[in-house]
Amino acid sequence: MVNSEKYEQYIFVGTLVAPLITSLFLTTYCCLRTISVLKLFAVKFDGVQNTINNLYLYAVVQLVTILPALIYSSLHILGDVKDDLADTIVRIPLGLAGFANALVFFFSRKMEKTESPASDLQETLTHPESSKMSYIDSLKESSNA
Amino acid sequence: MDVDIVTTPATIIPQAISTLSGLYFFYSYFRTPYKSVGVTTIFYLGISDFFMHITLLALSFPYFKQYRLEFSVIFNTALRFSIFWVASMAIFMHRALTGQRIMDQKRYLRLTSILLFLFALASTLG
Repeated sequence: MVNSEKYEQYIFVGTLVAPLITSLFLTTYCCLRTISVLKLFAVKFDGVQNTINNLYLYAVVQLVTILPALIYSSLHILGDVKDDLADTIVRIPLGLAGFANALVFFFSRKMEKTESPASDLQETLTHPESSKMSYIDSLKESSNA
Repeated sequence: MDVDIVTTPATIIPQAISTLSGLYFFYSYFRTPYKSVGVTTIFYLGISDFFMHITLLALSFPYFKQYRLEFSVIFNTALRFSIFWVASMAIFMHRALTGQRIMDQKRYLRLTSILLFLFALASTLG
């Protein structure tokens, strides 16, 4: 019984660490790259910054909700740490992941409505017709005009 | 960890809150008249989160414990989908903003979501 439980924990940790690290690395890389490109083109990026902040919030929510369970499982595998109270405590953030994501969504939408009702990025992402043109291209065209 | 679910109020209440917030999210999504691409992508995340929490909530009841393995697969797939989702959105934003043209964003996002789901399922079953 103990071995099978340990095996389950091992599977949980082993299959989750790589996706989590990869996802966080890719998110950070893409956001930083986007900011650097926009700075390079000297584009004002208020609307984009909101989107980047939201993406970071989603990433942080995932990290905060999954990391405790991951650490506990790792400790259980490596150091035979087994505590029912700790087991229950690490399940609480994992259970609140969906609620936290919904909160981020509702707050970000509220912020968008109050701060930038028609941000440039929102325009880019909301109109499929304008998707033939990238954000920077559209800015270049508007500045040329 | 992911299979052994403890039935205590401390673990049931967060799942219930998340499930209810997922239902409210669906309600507000379908009530929105114009569904933008950004909101639709978050809707996919909402579906994933909803399935993740409803399986954990269902496993708290004795009747559903016979489907433990199936629910575990659903939970793990949804969890991995949520993890990959942030990275895919960051890549999408980077592509959309920095000059790489995406011809049909809705189709691109739908395809990305299906691929993410298959990838998450494969990583769970593997």
